[in-house]
Amino acid sequence: MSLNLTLYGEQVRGNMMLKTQLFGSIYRFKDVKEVLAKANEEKSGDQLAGIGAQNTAERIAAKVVLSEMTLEDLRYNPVVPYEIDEVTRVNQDSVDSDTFQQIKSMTVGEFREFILKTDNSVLAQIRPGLTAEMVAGVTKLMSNLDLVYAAKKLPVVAACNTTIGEAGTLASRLQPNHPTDALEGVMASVMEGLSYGVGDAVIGLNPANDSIDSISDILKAFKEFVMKWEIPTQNCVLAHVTTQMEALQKGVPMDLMFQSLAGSQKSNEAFGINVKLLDEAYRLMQAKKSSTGANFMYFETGQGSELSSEGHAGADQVTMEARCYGLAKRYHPFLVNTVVGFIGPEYLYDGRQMIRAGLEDHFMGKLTGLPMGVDVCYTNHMKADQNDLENLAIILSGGDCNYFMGIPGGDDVMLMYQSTSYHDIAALRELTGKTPIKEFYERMVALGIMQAGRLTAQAGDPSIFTV
Amino acid sequence: MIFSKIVVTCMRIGSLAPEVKVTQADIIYQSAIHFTPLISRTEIDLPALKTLVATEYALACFRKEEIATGAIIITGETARKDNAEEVLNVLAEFAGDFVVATAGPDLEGILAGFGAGAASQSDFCTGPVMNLDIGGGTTNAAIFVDGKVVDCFALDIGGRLIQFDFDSAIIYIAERLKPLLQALGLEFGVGSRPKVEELSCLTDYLAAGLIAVCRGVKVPEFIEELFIQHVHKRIAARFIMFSGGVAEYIYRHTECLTLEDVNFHGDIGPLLGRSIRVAFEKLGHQLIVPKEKIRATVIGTGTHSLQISGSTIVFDDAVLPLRNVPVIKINPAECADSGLCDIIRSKIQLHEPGNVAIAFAGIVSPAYSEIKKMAEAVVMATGSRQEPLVMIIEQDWAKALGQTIRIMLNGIKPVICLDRIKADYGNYIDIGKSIGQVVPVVIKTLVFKS
Amino acid sequence: MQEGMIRDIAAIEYNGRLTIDKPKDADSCVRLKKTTNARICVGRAGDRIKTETWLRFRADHAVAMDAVWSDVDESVIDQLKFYKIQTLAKDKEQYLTRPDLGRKFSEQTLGEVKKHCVMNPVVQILVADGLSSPAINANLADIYPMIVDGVRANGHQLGTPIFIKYGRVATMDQLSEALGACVTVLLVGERPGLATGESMSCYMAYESSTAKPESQRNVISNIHRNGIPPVEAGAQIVQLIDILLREKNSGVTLKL
Repeated sequence: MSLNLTLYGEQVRGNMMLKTQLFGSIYRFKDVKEVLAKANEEKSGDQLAGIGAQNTAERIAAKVVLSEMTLEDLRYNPVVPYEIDEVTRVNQDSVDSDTFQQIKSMTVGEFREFILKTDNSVLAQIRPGLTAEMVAGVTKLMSNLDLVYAAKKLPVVAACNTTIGEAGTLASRLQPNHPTDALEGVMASVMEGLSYGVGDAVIGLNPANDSIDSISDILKAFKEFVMKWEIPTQNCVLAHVTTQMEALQKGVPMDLMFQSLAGSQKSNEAFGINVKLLDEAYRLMQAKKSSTGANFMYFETGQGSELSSEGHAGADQVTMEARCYGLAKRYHPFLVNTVVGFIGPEYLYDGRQMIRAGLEDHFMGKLTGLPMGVDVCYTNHMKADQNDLENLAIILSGGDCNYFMGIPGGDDVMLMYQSTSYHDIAALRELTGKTPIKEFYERMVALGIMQAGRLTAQAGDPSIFTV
Repeated sequence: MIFSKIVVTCMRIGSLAPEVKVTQADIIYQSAIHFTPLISRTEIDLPALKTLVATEYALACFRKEEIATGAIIITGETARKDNAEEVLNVLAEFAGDFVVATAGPDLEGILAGFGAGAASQSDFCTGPVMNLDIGGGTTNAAIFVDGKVVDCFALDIGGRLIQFDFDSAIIYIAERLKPLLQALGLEFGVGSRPKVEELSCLTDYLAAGLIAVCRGVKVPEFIEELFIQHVHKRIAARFIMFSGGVAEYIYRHTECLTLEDVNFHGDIGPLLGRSIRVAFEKLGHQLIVPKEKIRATVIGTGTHSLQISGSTIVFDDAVLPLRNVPVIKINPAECADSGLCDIIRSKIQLHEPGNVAIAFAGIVSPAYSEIKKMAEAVVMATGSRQEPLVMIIEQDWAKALGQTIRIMLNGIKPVICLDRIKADYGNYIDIGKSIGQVVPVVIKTLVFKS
Repeated sequence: MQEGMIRDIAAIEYNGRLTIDKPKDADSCVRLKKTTNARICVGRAGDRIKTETWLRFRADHAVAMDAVWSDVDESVIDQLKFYKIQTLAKDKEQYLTRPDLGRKFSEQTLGEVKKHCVMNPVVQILVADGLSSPAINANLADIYPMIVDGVRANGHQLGTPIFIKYGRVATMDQLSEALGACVTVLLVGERPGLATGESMSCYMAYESSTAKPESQRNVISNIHRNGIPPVEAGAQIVQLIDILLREKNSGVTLKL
C-alpha cells in the first residue's frame, strides 16, 4: 500500500480546526505536530527542543484542540513525512484499513472515553487500525490514573521459552551488569537475583565490552547455568544487533535478540540500524535462535533519544516514543521496555516528569499491542531519588506492567544509574498478589526460594547456587 | 620445555589509558621430560643442556627469533649446583632474550599449585585448596583461596630421601632424615636391605605428618624439623591434591609387598605414595585429582612465572633485559619521612656494588608533592651511581614518578619505572624487553647459592 | 546523651562484606561478593533491604547528587592561576536542562579570552566543572602540575590555563578555535556514579574545532584516587600531547 500522504494531508488539514479560545484568549496552532507537542505534559526535553507549551494555559488549549481532531486527522499528518522516513512507512503500511475505517471518525477526545469504557476484548480488536500519532495523541489527554486504568485493560501476552503477560504475574529482567563483564562477577549477581525469584522475563546483561568473544562467553554461561539449575527463562546480551548476529552465526545459544530503537529513521541511523538490518536480524534469529516460542525479539526505547541524536524532526518526545512502538510491533517482540529515566535531566527533569513518562510509555506500548515492561530508573544528575522510583514502580504494578528490571541493591555498577532492585520485585509482587511467570515460579518453589506466592526464609541467599 | 601462546589484550578500547592484560595463555608445545645432564654431582653439563634445548626448539618448530619472551626457571636440587648461575645466564641468551630465575622452595610450591590446577580450582570452590608437590627431595606446598596464594612452604620429604641400588641395597640416606629414623628405632643404613615393613614405618610416619600439615594441626616433632626455611601458617585445607613424581603413586593403586616392588625407581617414592594414599583413605578424605602430576611445576612455571607490568610505565629497551636485580623496599611511612633520601641511600649501600630496584608499596594515589619528593630523594640517593635507575611500584603511578625523575635527570642515565608489580625486600627481579607498551617481569625469591 | 560518634556508614568496606542473616554457605557468599562491586549478599528485612544497606545507598546517592549541584572551590582555581570564564548557562539548573548553552560562550566572553590569554599556544589546558565539581577540587592540584612539568620539559609552549564554569566538553572546540591552539586538553568532572563523585575525564584533540565531529577527541576517563591516580593520568597526558603533536592528528583515526 502506498499513500500519497502529502496531498491527502493537505486536504485534511483544510477541514481541521487548529484554533481555540480559552478564558477569552485565542490560541492558534500551525499544524498537528505543534498541537501534539504543546498538548504534552511538561517535559524538559520539549523545552530544550523549543516546542513545548509556553505556559499551562497554552498546554490546555492544545489539549482542547487535540481532543477535537479525528483519528483520521492524526493518521494523515504523521510528524515525519512518509516519503523521507521509514519508521513512518512501517507504521502507516501496517494499518489494517478495515479496522481503520471503523475508528477513523472518532475524535481523540471520544477515543479517550472509548478506551476507558470499552471491554478488554473489544479494545484489543482496534489495535491494527492505529498509528503512533493516534496512540500518542490520546495519551496526551489522559491523566496518570487514566493511563494506569487504561493500560490494565490492555494486557499483552507473548511467548518465548516461557509466556509473559499472563494475568496475575509480574515478571522481571535479571540485569547482572558488571563494570568489566568479568564472568564470575556477572554470575554472582545472577545467583543473587535468582535467589530473590528474579529473572523470569530474561537474564540479560548490558555488556561493557561489545566484542563477539565476550558476549558469546556470557550467553553460553547464562545458558549453561539455567540448564544446570533447570530454570525456565530466556538468555540475552544487550550488545549491538550486528554483534549478536555474528555470535548467532557462530552457533552461540541466544534466546532473545536485543536492540535499542528510536522513533525516526535518522535517529535509528545514529544507533547504527535501519529496517532492512532489523528484518535481516529477525530472519536470522528465526532460523538460529535457541528459544522455542514465536516471540524472540527484545527492544528498549526511551523518551528523548531522538532529540539527543537530532532526529526528532521538530516533534515532541512522547510522539517520537510512540513511533518506536510502531516499529517494534513489526517484529512481534517478547519484551519491550522504556528506560524511562536514563537519559538525563535535559529530557526528563525530575521525579515528576519521570513518573509521567513511565506511565505514558507503558500505556502507549500496551495500546500498540506490545508486551510492555518498564525500566523504572534515574540518573544522579536528575532531580529524582529512590522514592520517586518506588512511586512509579508501585503505580505501574497497579496497571499490570509486564516486567521490571531487577538489579542488585538497585545500583547498576556498569551503567551508573539506579533502577528497581531484586528486593523491589519481591515487594511489588507481594503487594499486588502476583507471582513470577508460572513455570519459573514452580521451579522457584521446587528450589525452596518461594512458597505460597512469597519468598521463603531461605530466599535472598546466592550460596543456594554454589555447589 | 614449554611453548605458550600468550594473548596480551589492550582493554578499554578507545580510551587513551589502556589496560593491558594477559587474556589467554595456551600451551602449544611441551617437550618430553629430561633429567638434567650432569658432569658430576655438583656440576651441570652445559653443552649437553644446550643440545637439549636446541633439539626441543627444532621439534617445536620454532626459531628463537620468533619467541617474544621467556623465562628459564631452575628448581630444586639443580639450583644448588656449582655452575647453576653461569649455566642459566648462558642458556638465557642461547634460548632468546630470556629472563632467568631460581624458584626457591616457596615459589616452586606456588608454581606447582598453578600447574596442578589448585589455583583455578580454588576459584570454583569454597575453602582453602592445597597442593603438595612431592618430588625427589622436597615437598613443596601451596594453599589457594579464590585463586590467590594464602600460604606456601616446603618440607624435606621426597621419594629420593632413601635410594637403592639395583639389588635394593640402600646407597643413600638423606642427612636430615637420620634423627627421625633413630627416633622410630629404624636401624638400617647404607648397604643394608631393609624390610618393607621397616620402610613403611618411615613412610607411614611421613604420611601422618603430611596429614597434620594439611589439617593445619600441630605436626609431630620430627616433621616440624623437616620444614625448609620456615614453618607453615597452619591453615586447614578443605580440598587437597598432590602433584610431583610421587603423586603418580598416590592416585594409582600399586602393591608394595616386596622390596623389589618398592624399588621401581631406585627410591622409596612408590612406598611413600602408597602410605599417603592409605592414610587419606583411612581418614575418609577424598583427594582431588590434579590436572598435572609430575609436570605440575614445569607447567605452572610456563604459564605463571611471568608477570606483565602495568601499561603506563617508563622504560628504556636499550638497557633491557636486566637480570637478578636485588629489591629494596620503601614503605609509606618511609616515603613520608623527611630523611627519605638517606633511607634509600642506606638501603642501596647494602647491595653495593651492582644495581638495585627500589620498590615502593602501599601508596594508592600519591599527591603531586609526594611524587616530587620521592623523585628528588631517588635522584639524590643514586647521584653518583652509573647504573640505570630501576623503580618498581605496587600500585599504578610509575609513569608519574618515572617521568618526573627523567625530567630531573635530563638524560644522564636510563630510567626504568614499572608498576602493578609487587616485590618485597629480599626478592630479585628480572625485566625483559618490552612487548608493546608493557614489559615482562619475573620476581624471584632466591638467586644462587653463594 | 552519650559522648562519641556513630560509625561513618560511608567508610564501611563492602568488598567481601556479607549481611545475609543465615546464609547456607557464608564462605561462598563472601567469595561471590568479592567478584563484583554490585550490591549483592546484602540480605533482607522481609522483602525490603536492611537499614544499613538502605542508608549506605542514600549516602552514596547523596555524594553523587551533591557533586552535581555544588560549585568548584575557587581557591583551587585561583591558586593555580587559571583565567575564569562562564558559558551561556546562567545557573546550575539551566546548565543541566540546556546542554546547548553549556557548550557556548558569548561574543563578549570570547573577546575577553582573546584579550587576556596567550594566543596560538602549542598546548592549551582547559578545566570545566562538567557534572562534578568535587572531581576538580579533588584532582586538579595533582594532575595539572604534572602536565605542566612534562609539557615544559618537552619544550612545548603552554597557553593561559582557563577554567570554564558550567562547561561541557564541546567548549574546547570553540575556545581552541578562538585561541588558535594546536593541542587542546580539557579536564572535566564526569557524571557521578553512586559513591564515585570525584571522577574526572580528560578530552584531548589536535586543532579542536566546532567543524569536526566528536570523533576528533581522545579521552581518558575514570581519573580519581581509586581509579587512575591523577598524577599518573597527568604523566600519560604529557606523552599523548607529544603523540598528537607528532601525528598532527587526534581521535578515532589516531594510530598510537
